[in-house]
Amino acid sequence: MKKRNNGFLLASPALLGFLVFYFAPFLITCWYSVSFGIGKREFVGLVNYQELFENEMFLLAVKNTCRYMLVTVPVTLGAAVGLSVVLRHVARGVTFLRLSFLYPMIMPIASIVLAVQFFCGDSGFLNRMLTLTGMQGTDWLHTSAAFWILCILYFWRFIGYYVLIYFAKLQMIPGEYYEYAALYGAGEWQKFRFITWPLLIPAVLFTLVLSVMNAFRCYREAFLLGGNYPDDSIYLLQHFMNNNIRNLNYQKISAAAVSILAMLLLVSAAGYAVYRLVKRRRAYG
Amino acid sequence: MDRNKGKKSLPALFLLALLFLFPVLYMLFRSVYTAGDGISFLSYYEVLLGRPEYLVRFFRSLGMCLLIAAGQTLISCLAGTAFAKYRFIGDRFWFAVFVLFMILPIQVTLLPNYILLEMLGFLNSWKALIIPAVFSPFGTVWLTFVFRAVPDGSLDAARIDGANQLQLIRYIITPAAKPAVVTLFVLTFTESWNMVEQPMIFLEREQDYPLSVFLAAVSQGDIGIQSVCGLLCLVPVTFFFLYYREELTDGLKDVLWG
Repeated sequence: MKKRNNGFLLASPALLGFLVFYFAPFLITCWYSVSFGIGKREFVGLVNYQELFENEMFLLAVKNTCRYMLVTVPVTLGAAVGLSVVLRHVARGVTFLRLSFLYPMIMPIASIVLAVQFFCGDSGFLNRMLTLTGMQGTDWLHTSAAFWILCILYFWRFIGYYVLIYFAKLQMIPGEYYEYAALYGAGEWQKFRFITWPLLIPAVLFTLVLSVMNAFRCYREAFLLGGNYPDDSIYLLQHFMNNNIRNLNYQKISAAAVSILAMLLLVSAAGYAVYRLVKRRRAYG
Repeated sequence: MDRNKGKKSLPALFLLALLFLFPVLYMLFRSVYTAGDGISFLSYYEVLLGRPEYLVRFFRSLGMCLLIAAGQTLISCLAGTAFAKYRFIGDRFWFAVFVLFMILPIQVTLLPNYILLEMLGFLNSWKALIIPAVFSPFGTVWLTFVFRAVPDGSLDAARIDGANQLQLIRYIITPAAKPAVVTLFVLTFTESWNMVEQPMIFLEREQDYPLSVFLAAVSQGDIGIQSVCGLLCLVPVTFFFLYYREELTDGLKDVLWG
């Protein structure tokens, strides 16, 4: 029943748009990243890349982005696992709780940032509290505290989504498993370690991909909080890209874009390998 | 399940829920209360009736985002069906490329986009914001995963009854995956409602900026007006969120089992 042409016809609008607006331009980017010149471009090899990796701002941006991901992703996923396990024990109001946890995800970033500014800004609530207790307040958004504010925002925004996924998965685990375990004298921790966790691993790996994807989106918060040149602690890869697009420094960003793609490919390949490994171990174990 | 324990942990969790709603509550509070003057509704009057600039921007942004969300949903339904239910030349390769571009941060594709829009002469108009967003690979990937779970049997049955391609999508596949399709619509809407990078790079004139960017720059001093604008910004997404809450909770987790 599956005819060749029908599928192609259906996919063609998406394919065409994707080719024109994403893929073909990306090939142009690849060419820009290895060439130089105004008007007539010449092939220069990896010079642009070399310059890029000697650029201090780029290195700072890479460092910050990695640090940001290493902090936010594990903490958020870990807390989400904990919260969904607790949520299992709640008798009433689960729907309300889940919805209110999920709400931040669709909240407009502009509104969130406004609230943060009112709260942590120069004349915000936090500083007034500090002044009342006799301490000196600062403009938190322009110190290294900005990094942590950004981390908290990520945590707050996305944890509800991961809880939703884990909770759905947990509800598919038959209650008998736990009853049997209790019968043989397993404690809460052992139940978690030997029943919940192994069954949750595929969902955790899935959310790992999602959370890295979402972590790349944090630029909007960082930009709206700190502007184009924020505190050093939240100068992210995205700031680097944006500022260079404004200067129309094509070869620099092209090289950076290709480098980011390469790094991401490496990370996803590693992730996929781990996934296969876990799957195989479970199949034989 | 242990009932007593559940009741014990409830208050703590509801406090936590309050924390998640905090920005909204705080903004509601700040929109009517200023330290010097006490409670007043003047800023609501100013934004909604006093000056047209806020509402004009609001409705223009709303129109743009609805257009993007509708376009993306439509195209993704077609392409999702193609990738999930048909074989054609290069389908696996293209799907892998779609996935890769979905994960990429927006900044990587921003420059290619810019170069192309410049060539097409779309810069400085809202076409530059709408058209690339409609073709974003996210929806196709998302719906392909979900559509794979629609049983082939029901498709074959409909074919025997004489349904054509589009009827299959309209009457069999989309209804079967309704939560996911609705979720895609809402997510795309939120995503474009949040647009920050594209307008700043593709548009030169500040008066063209949609609400999301404008809000960051809105009359820096006046907290009341800022709060009301922040709340205004919340209205459409909150409406979608509450109206489609069941589809959303289903749809967001659906993708996992596809």
